Amino acid sequence: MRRELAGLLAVTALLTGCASVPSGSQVVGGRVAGHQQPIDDPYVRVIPVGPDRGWDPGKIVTAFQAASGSFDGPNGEHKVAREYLACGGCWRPGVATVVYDRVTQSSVEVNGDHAVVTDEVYPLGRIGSDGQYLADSRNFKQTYELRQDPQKQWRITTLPQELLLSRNDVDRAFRTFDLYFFAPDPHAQILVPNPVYIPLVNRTWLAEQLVKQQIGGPTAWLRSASVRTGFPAGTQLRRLDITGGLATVDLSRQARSGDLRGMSIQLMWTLRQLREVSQLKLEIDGKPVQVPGVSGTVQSASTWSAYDPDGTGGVPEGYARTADGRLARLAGTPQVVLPKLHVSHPAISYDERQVAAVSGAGDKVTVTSLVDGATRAVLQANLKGGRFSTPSWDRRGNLWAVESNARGSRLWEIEAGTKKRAVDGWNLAPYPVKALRISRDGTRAAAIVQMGDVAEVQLGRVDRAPAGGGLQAEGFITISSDLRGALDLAWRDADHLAVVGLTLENPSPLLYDVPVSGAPLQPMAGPGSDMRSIAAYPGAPLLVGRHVSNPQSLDNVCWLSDKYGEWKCFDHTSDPAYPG
Amino acid sequence: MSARFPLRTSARHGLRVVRRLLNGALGRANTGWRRSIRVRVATTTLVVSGLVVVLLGVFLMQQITNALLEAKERAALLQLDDGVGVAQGRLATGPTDQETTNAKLNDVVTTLARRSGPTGLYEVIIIDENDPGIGGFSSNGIKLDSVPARLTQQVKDSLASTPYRTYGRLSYDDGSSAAGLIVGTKVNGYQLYYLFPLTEERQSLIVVQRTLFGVGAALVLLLAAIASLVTRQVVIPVRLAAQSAERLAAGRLEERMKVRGEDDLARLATSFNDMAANLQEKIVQLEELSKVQRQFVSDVSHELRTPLTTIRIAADVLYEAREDFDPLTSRSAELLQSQLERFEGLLVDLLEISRYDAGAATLDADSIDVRELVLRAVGDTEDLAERKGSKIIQQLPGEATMAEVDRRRVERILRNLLVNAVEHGEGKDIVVSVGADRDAVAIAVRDHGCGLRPGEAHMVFDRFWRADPARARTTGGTGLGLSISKEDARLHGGWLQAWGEPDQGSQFRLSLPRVAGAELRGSPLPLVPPEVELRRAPYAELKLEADA
Repeated sequence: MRRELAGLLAVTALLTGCASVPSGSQVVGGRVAGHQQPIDDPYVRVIPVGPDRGWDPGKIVTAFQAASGSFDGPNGEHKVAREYLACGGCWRPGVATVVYDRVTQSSVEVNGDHAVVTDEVYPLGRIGSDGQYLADSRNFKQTYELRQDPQKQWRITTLPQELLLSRNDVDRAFRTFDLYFFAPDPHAQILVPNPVYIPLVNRTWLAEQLVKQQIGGPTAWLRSASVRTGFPAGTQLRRLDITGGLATVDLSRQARSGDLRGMSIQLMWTLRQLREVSQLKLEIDGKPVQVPGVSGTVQSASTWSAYDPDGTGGVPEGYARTADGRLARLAGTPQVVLPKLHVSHPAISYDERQVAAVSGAGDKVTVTSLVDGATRAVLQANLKGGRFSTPSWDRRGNLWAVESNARGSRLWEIEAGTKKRAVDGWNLAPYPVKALRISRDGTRAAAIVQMGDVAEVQLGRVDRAPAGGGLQAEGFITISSDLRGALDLAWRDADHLAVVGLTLENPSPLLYDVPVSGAPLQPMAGPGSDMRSIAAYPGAPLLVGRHVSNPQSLDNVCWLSDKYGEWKCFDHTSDPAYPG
Repeated sequence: MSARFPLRTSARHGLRVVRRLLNGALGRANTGWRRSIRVRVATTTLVVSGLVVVLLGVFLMQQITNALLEAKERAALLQLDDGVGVAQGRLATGPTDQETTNAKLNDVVTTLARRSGPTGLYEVIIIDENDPGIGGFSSNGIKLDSVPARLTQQVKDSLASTPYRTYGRLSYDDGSSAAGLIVGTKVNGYQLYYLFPLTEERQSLIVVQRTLFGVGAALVLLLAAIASLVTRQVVIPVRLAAQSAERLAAGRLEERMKVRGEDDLARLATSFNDMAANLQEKIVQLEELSKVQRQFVSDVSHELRTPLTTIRIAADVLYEAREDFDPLTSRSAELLQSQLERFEGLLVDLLEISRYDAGAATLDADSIDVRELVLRAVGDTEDLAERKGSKIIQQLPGEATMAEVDRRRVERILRNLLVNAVEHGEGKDIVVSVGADRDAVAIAVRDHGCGLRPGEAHMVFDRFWRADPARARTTGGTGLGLSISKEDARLHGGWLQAWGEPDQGSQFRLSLPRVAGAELRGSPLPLVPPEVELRRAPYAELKLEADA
């Protein structure tokens, strides 16, 4: 009897032992088994609801505007919002959108079974049907006409053929992505980002739309800059499949005549913006193709890293002007480069062999070789009372300088640092320009333009007509309606500007990160007040020049130490610069 | 068309083969089921344990599913509680205009969805019923109809901070869907739902289910194998016992079983052996007894013969001198003589029948023309027939009718039949006919006497049977003749049958195989004489007409 009891106990102990969870074990290494969704990117969408019975015209219009903020339905066709319309199929807004700051319903006129609702729209900008954003804050009136249907319900009959969405709606419903095209210069393959807004219908749709737009070519704005693309006209996307980090892009047979290398570079750079893509496989008509210079059919992101629009060289050191007017390299401590050279607003060429500087009076730009100190060119102001802002180099070694007085401006190019000429097609001639920086790809220019009493940050194209024709700087568009003034700007990378600017909420100058896509700007922690100038280089710390009125510390140039995340300042320096 | 024919025929052929194989397998299985305890036990174990394992598996699966879902529900409610805290904190403050509210709700959903982690532990839906056009906010493309109406109703009607949960189907914008757990509660007048896809749980359950399937199948097969093995241990001794019993039955009385160990089977073997020993003893005893009996009969006959011979000699003397005696004594001497002859015949017949009884009769077969035997038997009985006034008519085939028979025995049969016919023939004609076919010969003896009453056709072959016990015996038959004849016929593998009807006479038919020992399938001659058969037919016809 006792033995049986002991046996029973042993069995019970064994069974309970089996069911327990280990409370200790050796340390085992693991691997993440593929992420299912990008960790930092949960996307939130509005749930649209259709019209209720008996809503009045005003409420119908308000509700319609709210519901149209959702790209619901399998292809983002605003299925629910169409329920508010008398003719659901007649409305084809695409992605064309007016982004508003606020909308007020100014009047509702009901006349029998017809009604007119008028909205006062205070916009921020527009998204074109090709996804290009244009800041535009001129307010306007928008009318909606409504009619009662046989069930005595109000339905919208006349409405704008574009969406009317708030900033929040746009942030929710759209994502900004860069399309990539090659700069017009046929000798160097430099990628130019082309930011577009793409509605987030769902993740697979997003990726497909991105590739379709990449194949379809640049937005109308950038097309004028005659950027090049590797995709032949008529190329279609047959299939896009993203599994396990590998994106398989199947193009129609028209792509055979295209530049396989160029297409691969563009697709890779476009698709790598999606977190789920790290490799690319190009297929034409269902068959994998061998891209010259790539072993195997699968290309990884690193295959085309040499085409980084931000450049691939090492991170250069910054430059600044010392208190006695000399150019100093900021290597640990400011080190004077050429003792005899006195500069103001210096601009260093990308090869760091030339420096362009504005004279003390601001009416002269001098290009000096940093190797032997020889002066290569001198540009005199042409306008009456014209003063040069800080000049800007492009990658080809051309110097750009803008001269402006109170009534207008003129743009100069010094080709290869020696041959100067005025740019004919200068769109901003009627406005004073406080700063101008050419992008590293040489196709775009960011400028601070004085429009009345507001200094706007604008983005323009540098169009170089083929076969040595005239040079044009045109198509300037405002990229942010939030900025109400700006002091200086710099290209942080190919599609972001660092701006010392003012907004409505913050009248004192702050540091902002401004995407050229038109996405909302992000304030950055700056070194403090009295910021005046800024310099930036991809991968390098920002340099911010402050004008301190306190004579003890005087001006200083501060840089953001990446080690401690705090600003370090060199006293008695000003006018920071990076190559470019 | 021509190409299809071979295809069809080959298909039909294949079907036939399959059907044959199937039938064969079924037949084998059936045979196996009927003949083998092992197959039966193994199959029963398989079926019963299969049932038990299935039941157990279902129960286990249910338990595991319940445990898993309960844990999930607890975790879900905790998550929801956590989310409610966050949402309350964010929604309570700030302005309450629609745009700000939307921004706040958006912010809440983003924050809560971000907490869900990289594996998409859950999705969040917040429902705002005050805003026209916007029903609320959802994370990562989950559709509003993922929240069942029953839950919405419950949450809407509830007081704040009471969480509710239910199971439903989560559907996403890209068309995919998954089973999920949905928990919801009311926060500041909004409805907050957490939707947990149960994909992981499903995966785990599938793994568990597969494991259960595998283990169950293995267990069932193992049990069947064990049952088969165990049965084998029992069945093999039983088979050995059966074998032993068969051998014993075949007469090998010295057969014994091996006794191994002390278990039940050993006891069976011991009992069997005891039984066999007893049986052997009894059989040996009986054999001895029968041997003694045979010896006794043989001895008796021998012992009776010697005094009988002496009596016979004395009786003969008396019989010779009967004319010198007074009539009474003379009659006595005659009687003595005749009764002695009967006694002698009886003794011979008794000896013969006792030989049959002892199984000592042997067939001494030769190939003989049956007609010859008939002629001889008729020759022997012609005198008697004449005396009775009967004529023996012979109907013999023209050619030789050869058969392997024992001359002495067949002659005896024929003699018996003829004497019998003469005796009961009432002086009418007696017909002896011989027929033959490929396998058999037959001899029929027909008389036209008083015949047999119904039922007597079988009794005629009984020992000492008489049709009319009162009738005097004129020919001095012993009453054993037909019995011996029947035994003789049987020894040949043949038949001896009688037919008779009152006032129609009777017919005895002897059928013998042509080859000794061959099986007899039919007789070349009819048992009922053809003329009787023919006579019956018109009546039958008339009767039919009368009916019509």
